[in-house]
Amino acid sequence: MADLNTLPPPPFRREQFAISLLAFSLLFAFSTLFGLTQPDITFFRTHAFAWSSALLVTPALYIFIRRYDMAPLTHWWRLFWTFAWVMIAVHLIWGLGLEHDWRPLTVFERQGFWIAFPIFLLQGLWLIDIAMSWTRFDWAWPTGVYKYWQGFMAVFVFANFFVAMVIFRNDTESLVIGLLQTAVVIAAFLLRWNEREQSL
Amino acid sequence: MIRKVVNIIAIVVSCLALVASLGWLWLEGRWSAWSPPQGDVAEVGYDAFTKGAFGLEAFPLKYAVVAGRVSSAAFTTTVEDGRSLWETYGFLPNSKAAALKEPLCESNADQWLPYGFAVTNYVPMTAVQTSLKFAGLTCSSCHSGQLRHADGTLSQPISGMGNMDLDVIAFTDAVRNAVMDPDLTADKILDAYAKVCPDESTGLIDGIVEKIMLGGWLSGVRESMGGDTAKYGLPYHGIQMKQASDIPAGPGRTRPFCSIVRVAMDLPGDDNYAYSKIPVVFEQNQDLRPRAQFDGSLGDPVTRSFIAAYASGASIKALSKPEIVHNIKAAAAYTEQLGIAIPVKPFAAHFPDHAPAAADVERGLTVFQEHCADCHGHRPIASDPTKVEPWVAEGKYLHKMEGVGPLAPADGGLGVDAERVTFRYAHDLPLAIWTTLPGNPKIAAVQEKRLDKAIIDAQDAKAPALAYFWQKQKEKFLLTKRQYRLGHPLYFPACKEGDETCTDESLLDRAPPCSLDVNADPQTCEITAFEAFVNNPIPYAFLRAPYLHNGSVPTMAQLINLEKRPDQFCRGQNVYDPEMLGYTAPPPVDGKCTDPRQAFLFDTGVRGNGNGGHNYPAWDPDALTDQQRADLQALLAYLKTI
Repeated sequence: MADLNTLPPPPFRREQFAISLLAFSLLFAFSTLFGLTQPDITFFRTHAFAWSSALLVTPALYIFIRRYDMAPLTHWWRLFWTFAWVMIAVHLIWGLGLEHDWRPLTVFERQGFWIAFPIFLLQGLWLIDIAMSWTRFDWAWPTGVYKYWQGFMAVFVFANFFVAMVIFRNDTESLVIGLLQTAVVIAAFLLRWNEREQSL
Repeated sequence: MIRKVVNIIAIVVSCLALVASLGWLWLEGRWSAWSPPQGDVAEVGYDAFTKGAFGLEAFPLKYAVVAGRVSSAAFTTTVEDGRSLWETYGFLPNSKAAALKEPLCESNADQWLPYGFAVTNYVPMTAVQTSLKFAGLTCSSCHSGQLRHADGTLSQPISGMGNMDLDVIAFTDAVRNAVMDPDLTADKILDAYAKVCPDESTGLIDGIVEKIMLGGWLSGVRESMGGDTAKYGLPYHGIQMKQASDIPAGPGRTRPFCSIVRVAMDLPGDDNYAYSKIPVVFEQNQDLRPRAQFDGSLGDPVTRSFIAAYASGASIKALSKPEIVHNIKAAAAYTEQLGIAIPVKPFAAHFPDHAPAAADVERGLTVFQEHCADCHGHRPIASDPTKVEPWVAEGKYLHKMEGVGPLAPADGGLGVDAERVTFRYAHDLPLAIWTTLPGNPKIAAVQEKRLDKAIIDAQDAKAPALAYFWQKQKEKFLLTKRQYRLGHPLYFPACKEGDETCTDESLLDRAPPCSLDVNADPQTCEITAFEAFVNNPIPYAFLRAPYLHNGSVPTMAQLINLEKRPDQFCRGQNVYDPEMLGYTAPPPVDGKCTDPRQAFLFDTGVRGNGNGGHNYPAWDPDALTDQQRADLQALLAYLKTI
């Protein structure tokens, strides 16, 4: 696989943007407007944006696991990865702004350092990763430190969602989405393993 | 080609979804824009008290315009006797309504909506703000009244007086009847409205939003009320709404604990006989009245106002909105000063022809000090009868709890009807209400522990179902705690503004269960459940009729044993009797109240309606000596001046 970085950038197809944007928009609209039927609109929206982010990041994780270090990443990955971050940023705005009066320290006071810190760290590191994916020429077939960075970020993002949605499972929706995401990740690993086995 | 079309459709749908969502969020910001009003407590507090939103939206304003047309079956009681829908249920008329020539529409609602109704844009329960306007109840719907003179004229609305005409439970049943009507639709309401107010136009976007929200409100409220019938039963209708056999509270009274048991504990309240007249809310300053409610179960006036709104149906969500929080606090502050810094017209200003003679008043004060002041304090006699002196909160038993029912002393003590404080679940209420609102994280952790303790205590008491109940309460609490991560803004007990000595620990000392001693003095627990009534000052006694907590004694003359207390009488729009200080309440004829305007038969033999007790001076009205009669007449004269 060492020669992958000599391949040209993967071709961009318009449907990649159209479909990922559609997924993002519909989830954003659902989170915003379906909240009107809920007893606590702010609470619902805060959570629905997080669920939506988890749903958007799932195809990105699937593609990443299937292709990482085996084939170039695709625009599907980059777009879903980006839209998922935008959605988690919206979640942060709602959670921090409307539920914590824009006082990050209260999040630490309420949740404790080891739960609150990764939430904020995720936002920052993920943003850096996205910035690199849109500015680096080798985003699709990373090498060297950047390759390890991408691998670390995928693990870090998944771990954050897994802990928040499956371990803490504050509501049924979180648990269902978290388990779905976990199942997709496991399936991706199995398919990757199978593919590797067959190619040997 | 197909791929291209699909791409275009996807992008167009995405853009529409984004524009709709972002546009809605922008509109929400516009609809919910609010800044705290500036001014003194008299002005800001009055506005909050009479026009403020409290999360008690009854129905959309356009529906209020046409309710009598599209839902006449639901609102008709058969005893209208020419009265409007609002007047039939006892709401105070809008003073501008008589002069109104134009049709009653949304745009001129301030000229015809009854006194004490607010126009807000909060959707009931969810408290989402949209362009759809709602008619909502305020403090003054219940806590403002009018004196009906013998010639049929009415005084100006008196802020702080209980509305003794108001049939609020009957009105609630009528509203439930109306919205559960399967034939009522948003289109039907809007069509009827368009016929009544053809010149009123709504903007395109607002019109669309309005229609969607009206339909949403109707289906939501129908589902909610329909789903609650197991707890609330089906609403009464027609003449049942005015019959004591069906709705036993009647005019000027509520069933506060029936309501709070339902909303805070999610348990049925039908077996609750705690009837309470709508109380006056004068001079609620804690120096004069450290404990609120007839039973002294609450401390802080803000907590009292919160619980009043909550028990009346305001959701926890609505009660967290900055505007509503402001209104709760401003209205509470207003009642603390109402009658002190904010003047209330005394008796002589309302009835100058019935102002008592100075000599009688002076003698009456002596009688009052002998028989009443130990428990109530007293008010010095003012040199100008149209003014009052500040209340003197001094008395041997003032602010003390008087046990009734199981806590009654051997001699019977106060002896009033005890149903108000002996109902089922009374002792579980303080913890249930306290944990309705999560405090800051530190306090919420203690709330959770106390719920855990309640579970263990119930198990130790071999009451597994009660343990299950507390477990459910805890689950509810944990969800609410997640919703209000920094604490609910009306959490209680709370530190007073500027009190730097106040700490979380000191607050927890005042949180339930914090006192089991009915005789603790001072009683610092923020919320208690003793089988007792509290001795408090009685400013503006003439506006407190009918007397006793359950309104079972129509006049002051009867309360002080100058006259015999009636066993049965008719209630509704009763005329005020300035001689006897109270309401002219005619007796029923052949067991029936035939006057449609006083159709409610108050029977003191019915459970919760007892008129016994508070027997001070303990003289027999049928066997008064001349001296006793003269003393009581003087006492009555004095009571007119306080």
